[in-house]
Amino acid sequence: MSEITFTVGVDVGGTFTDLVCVGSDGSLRSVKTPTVAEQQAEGVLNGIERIARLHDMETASFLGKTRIILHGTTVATNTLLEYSGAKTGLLTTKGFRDELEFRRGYKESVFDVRLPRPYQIVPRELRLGVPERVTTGGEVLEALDTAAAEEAIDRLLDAGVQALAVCLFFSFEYPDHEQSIAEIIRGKAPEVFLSLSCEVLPQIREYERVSTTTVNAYVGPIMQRYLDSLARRLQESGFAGRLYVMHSGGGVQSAAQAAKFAVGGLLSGPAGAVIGASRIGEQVDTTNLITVDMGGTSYDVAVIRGGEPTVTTESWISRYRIAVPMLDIHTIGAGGGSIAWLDDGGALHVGPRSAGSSPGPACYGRGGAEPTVTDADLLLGYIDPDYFLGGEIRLDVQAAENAMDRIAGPLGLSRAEAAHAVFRIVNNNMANAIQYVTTQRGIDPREHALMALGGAGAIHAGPQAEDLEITTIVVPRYSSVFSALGDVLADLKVSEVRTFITPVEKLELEELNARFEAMRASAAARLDIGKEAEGRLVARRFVEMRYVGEVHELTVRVRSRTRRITELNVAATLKDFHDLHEQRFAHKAPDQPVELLNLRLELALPRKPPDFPTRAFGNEDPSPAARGTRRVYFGAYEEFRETPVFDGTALVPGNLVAGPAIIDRPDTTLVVYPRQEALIDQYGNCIIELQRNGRG
Amino acid sequence: MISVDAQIIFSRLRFIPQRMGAVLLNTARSPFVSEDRLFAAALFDGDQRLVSQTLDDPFQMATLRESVRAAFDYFLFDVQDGDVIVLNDSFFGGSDLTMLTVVFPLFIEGELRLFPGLRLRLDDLAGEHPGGFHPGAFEPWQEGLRLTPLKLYRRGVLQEDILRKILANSRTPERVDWSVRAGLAACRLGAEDVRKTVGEYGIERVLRAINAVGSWTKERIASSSEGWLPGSYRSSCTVHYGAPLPTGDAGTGSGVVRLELTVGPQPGAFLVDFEGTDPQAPAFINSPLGQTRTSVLLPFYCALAAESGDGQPPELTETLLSSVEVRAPRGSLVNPRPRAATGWCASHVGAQISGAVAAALGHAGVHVPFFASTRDLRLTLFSRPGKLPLLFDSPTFGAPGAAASRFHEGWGNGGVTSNRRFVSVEETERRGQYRIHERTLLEDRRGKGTRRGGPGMRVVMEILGQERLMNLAFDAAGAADGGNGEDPLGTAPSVVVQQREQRGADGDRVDHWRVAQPLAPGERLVLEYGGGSGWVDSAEQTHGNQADETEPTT
Repeated sequence: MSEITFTVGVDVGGTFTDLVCVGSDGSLRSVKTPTVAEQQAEGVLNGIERIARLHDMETASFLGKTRIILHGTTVATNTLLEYSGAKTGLLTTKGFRDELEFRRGYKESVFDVRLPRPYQIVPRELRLGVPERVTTGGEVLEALDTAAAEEAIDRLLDAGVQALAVCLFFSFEYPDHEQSIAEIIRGKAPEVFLSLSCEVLPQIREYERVSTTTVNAYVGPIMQRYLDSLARRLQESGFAGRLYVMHSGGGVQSAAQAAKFAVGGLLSGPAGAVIGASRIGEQVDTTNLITVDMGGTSYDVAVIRGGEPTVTTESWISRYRIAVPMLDIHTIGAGGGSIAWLDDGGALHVGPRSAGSSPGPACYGRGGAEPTVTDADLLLGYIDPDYFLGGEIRLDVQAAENAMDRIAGPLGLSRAEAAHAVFRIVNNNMANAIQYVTTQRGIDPREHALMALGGAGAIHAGPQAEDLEITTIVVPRYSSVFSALGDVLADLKVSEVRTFITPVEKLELEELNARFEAMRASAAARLDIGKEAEGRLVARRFVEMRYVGEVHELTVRVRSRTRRITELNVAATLKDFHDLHEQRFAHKAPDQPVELLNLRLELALPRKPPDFPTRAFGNEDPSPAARGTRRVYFGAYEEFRETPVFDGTALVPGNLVAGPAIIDRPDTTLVVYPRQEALIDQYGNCIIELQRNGRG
Repeated sequence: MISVDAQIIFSRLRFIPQRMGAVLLNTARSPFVSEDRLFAAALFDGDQRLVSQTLDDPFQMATLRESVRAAFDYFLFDVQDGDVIVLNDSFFGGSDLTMLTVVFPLFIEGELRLFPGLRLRLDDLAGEHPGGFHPGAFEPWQEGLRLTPLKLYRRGVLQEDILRKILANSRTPERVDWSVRAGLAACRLGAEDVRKTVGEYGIERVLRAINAVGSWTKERIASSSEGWLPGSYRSSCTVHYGAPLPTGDAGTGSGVVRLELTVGPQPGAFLVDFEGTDPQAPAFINSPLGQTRTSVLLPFYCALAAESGDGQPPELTETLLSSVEVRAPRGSLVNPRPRAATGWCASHVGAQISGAVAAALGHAGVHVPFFASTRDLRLTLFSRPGKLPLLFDSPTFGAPGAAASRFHEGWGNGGVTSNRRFVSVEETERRGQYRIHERTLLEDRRGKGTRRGGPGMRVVMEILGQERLMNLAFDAAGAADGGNGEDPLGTAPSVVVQQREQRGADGDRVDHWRVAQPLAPGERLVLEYGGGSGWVDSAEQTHGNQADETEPTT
């Protein structure tokens, strides 16, 4: 019998560090351990120690048998959100050092006179122009003035910068000037973190490029330091395998790449959940999914179509434009901690202000006095005050009542009615967020299942699904450690982008194929997987296209079954573009000229998914898992009803729970609403089916 | 008080114009729409009352509703299911002739109950110069083709003759065609969403929700304005223009006109009376009534936002629009008769009206971000007539810095009256029309007072390819504080033309406006957009203290 080896997924969140361990024997174990905010590596090691204990092993022995650790981290995100990055300098083409601050004139809210100016991650004195000028087609109008470049670099080094971003015009077509500057910097200060726009985002539009490149420089050293420290500590503890890091595009890459392209790690945590959802979707035979992850302060929505998460290059994070491809995760300020309040016209609002984890909702009993969504959920009977987080926190019902009374009185409602009003408003906000990511993109939510994640996701999913006429809700078995699970399931993947502007009618196939081949070679080098694995690589090619004259482009996958793109493939891709244009924007014009703007390539090394443990279907009757009843308020009845409660850990595959009912699990509560039925499948996932018509 | 039910239904309705706007933004080939965001989308009820509207272009705050109403008045008793009405006439509720209104009547169970409409900027629609921006114009026909309300669709059938007539009158027919298509697609989507929402909730519930939001908006307005001092407050300013004047015209005969107004605020509402304002000018600065209403509403809206508990303005609904009453003498600068040119009505006289209203409100204890300090510069560049290929562009190279507010320093561009995106240097150069040599902050334009405005910016661009003609206008004087036409703030734009041999030297300074000035390839324009001024209480605005607040730093 061969030795059991392990693959470990680790996701460091704001509150908990989650770990999922998959054994080569098919075992799957998970733990949650508190995150150590200042020392994330510490929390990771604590988690590994606990998971080793679950296997009755010493940490060193366990790590010795661990081949791969796949890691989702919030280090880059927190660095940018808290503006705690490295002291960074920026070198640009002379005359354009302020592009980063102009933001092309973008202001998030034009009528908000209180809106503060964005924090400058590179203050003006550390942004310097260098004499040089390249124009379209890579034509050099003015050679790089290396003496001036040296002087500027010296000035920035004297100022103590730890990282340098370099972004020159048209470097995506002529990278030589940026590379020359890089050489000078490496010669003078090899320890300084370098971020070149021709490497980070070699594509047209200077603002998008300079912002992305600068953020990369700003968060890079912090990410590098963290990953170095984690790798060292893992090594010291006996780990001899490979460490991979989840990136925002939904794949994992080596720690070295993750540090060099740290900007790609800004959605490292949430990306794991979306990848996990796409894999679990396959498991439950549902490849069109909308994932909703409801945490304490935010609500993340993502769409998966045909098993593939949607990707965007239009992200703004912490008021900086990030143009690298990222999973399209839309976030609104609606979570369990979101505060309910009345405006000066007497209308009830929920969020975006949150009670956070401290003081937290009033029912946490830590001094919070304002009513929150969790307080409403508690008062409506959805949450058991004695079984929150499996009984880890005892909820204070009286405090929740007092908080809810603050709005119930002015609204002229009973306490329960006020709580239900909070519940409806937050559900509506969340349903609108789902509408935003679907209908705005020409996607019909009714063609999707809703996958509910996060502690409160499965409480609120029922009404949202009804609202959107979605007929299936999936609550995965491992929803509480879902990002870590997604890390384990992710493929090794990198993406490349290159600007290639050309009218489709003048497209030279040989040139197109040559460009994609070069991108593939570059991506393969970044994957660093060795010759023997190259045959297993899977490339997906995309083109960003638009009608000539449009400013915004659409990304279309190139339909080709071989490495060479043929004329037929181009014609099919063009047709897809027209159709996508119509789907997104309600019109198309097949007679109009179309141009390519950028080429994109994803290169992945698929990893063998673990075999999830299954159990045979049993009896439909869930009564062995019954644990009594409690009074629960349902909108459909407009009153509290005595409602059966089931122990989620005791339900077995095949059990069918008819709504209204509550399923309590240590990590979450599932509310099965009237006209809904919940089935436990062979993997332990809960599938809730909704009857069409009416709203609950 | 508003019920949860009404809030939920209204949130669906609010989403509809937003989705329509997204279609326009993402598909328009015109940079005026895709980058300058000169469009607005809205929903109206059967009586053409505004239900909800996007504010991508704040200058369409009232003009969209006004022109929709004008269209219905025009086709009284003759609006059918499947009709689509288009119009651009400044004197049918509009502003300048480049803005096209699309009205999409939608009949639900045989009745007009709820329908979408929008306004969007067209690139070109005839007129003496491309783009409808003609600083020398003194009558509307120099600026463009006037489209009184026309049925582009009759009972669902495209009226090819109408469309062809519109396209035949454009120098950029493809772009205009595409904009019209995008507008129609957006309206179709809007109509589809309306049907879906009504199907889901029923029309009566939807209308009740709209009414409930109207009452709620009223309460919010009343609450935000309860500290306003009732009374009558006057304000005035001088408006400059430099266009050539035809003799014997009904205009004032000079390059200066006077704007006078009285504001009568009451809790929840106010009246603005322009009695005493000079007659319309024989220049392109006249503000049609729809535009005047918008310019009055903007400071009111900002004041409500500033005074509200959550910093957000109330919903832009009929309740808000109708809470402001405007009285403007017929034939005056702010309500001209149809022979008036109007091409620069929004960002010139419009900004002056907003500034003057803000100043008057200041006397009533109402704090409004200071408008007139962020003075705009408009520029179009085009080929010599007959020269092919026709090149025509109105690039947004930059924008003036925002004014500081009572609450915070200004930053970025003057966003309250503009939502524009600056052109991408690389995309611009790829098209081969210009090369941009510099775009930097003008820190030294920043005031050093208690509140400093956003910095201005300097742009140096070079003409490439063929010779271009330039139309340009900017307002270098006349702050809305009873000013005397000087520029004490140091915030006015400046424009210099540098010929090849003048590079590095001063060049030729442009004075306020230019009509069809030739620019040869290789010549450079040095554009300086002024910074926003420091904030002072608008009730206390004088040239002296503004200058103190905004003394240049180095």
